[in-house]
Amino acid sequence: MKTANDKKIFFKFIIICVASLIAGAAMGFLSSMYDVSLNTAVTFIFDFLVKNSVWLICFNFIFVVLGIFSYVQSKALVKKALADQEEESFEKADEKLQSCLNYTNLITIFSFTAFGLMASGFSTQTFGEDKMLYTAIGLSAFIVILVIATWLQVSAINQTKLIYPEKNGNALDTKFRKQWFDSCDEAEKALIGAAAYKSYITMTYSFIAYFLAVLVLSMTVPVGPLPILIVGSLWLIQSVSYARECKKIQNKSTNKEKKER
Amino acid sequence: MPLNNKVKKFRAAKNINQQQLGSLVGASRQTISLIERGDYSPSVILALKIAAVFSATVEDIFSYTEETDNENS
Repeated sequence: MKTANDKKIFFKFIIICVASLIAGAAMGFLSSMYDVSLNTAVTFIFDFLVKNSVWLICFNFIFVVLGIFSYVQSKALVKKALADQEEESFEKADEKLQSCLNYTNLITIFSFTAFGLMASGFSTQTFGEDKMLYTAIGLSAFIVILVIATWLQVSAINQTKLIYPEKNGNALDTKFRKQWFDSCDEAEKALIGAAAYKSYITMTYSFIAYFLAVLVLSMTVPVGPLPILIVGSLWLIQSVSYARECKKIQNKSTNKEKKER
Repeated sequence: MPLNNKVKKFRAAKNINQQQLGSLVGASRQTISLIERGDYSPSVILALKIAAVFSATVEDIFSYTEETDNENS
């Protein structure tokens, strides 16, 4: 039986649909009206990013320095925590180690993105005669940054294992993520679950936003069908893997109950 | 859900730190810290394990009070 609240939610949903329809129509109209300007602006941005991709790779050295600084601080904090066994010391050490790991994630994401931008410049002849020079600088910087980021990540995880000795897994092992998760206790697994669900919701909205952005762009800029296909397939992978995992966990509980009976 | 506990008090009486208690019950130091601060309610199994370490009952260590909103209504 529908309550007053259900009716309110339904009307709100209708208003959102109508507003989205109007916004979409306006975006489509404006993009076709200003297609030349949009095309010029987007082409300028793409060209700028690709031409400067090598320097974008090198820019990651700033995060590398920040990451190393964070790691050195965390190492000292871990030593202090193990010596005085104070709760506050452990909390500070944990926080600093997390900060270090966040930097390594940023380094990895930005480096790969910048490297991808550089690689995309080869097909469009963006670098011209300096192609070999740019490739040498960009590739060298990319490899050095990734090696340092990997070392930072492994070191930070090893430091984490000092303050959490029950944790298992070698950071260089392909099974590391599973081993680490399996060694987490109920509270840590609950935290990971809650954070993962929030991330799932954020990504769902992000996929919609990116889909709309690529849709509008593809009508005015010759990006081809690849961006739409990538967004669509990632969205599908996320939804299917989430549903599959839920069913797997549910079936595991059901089978356990049947065995006990 | 306000779950009160005396884990810190029992732990001090037994003279063990959070890491040691965590090792005994299969939980991390951080989880013990969260439980003591009231930021995490342990499962029944974990609560029983904690009680067993202190040779006490779960009710001796953990207590639950109804939320005031429910009381007023």
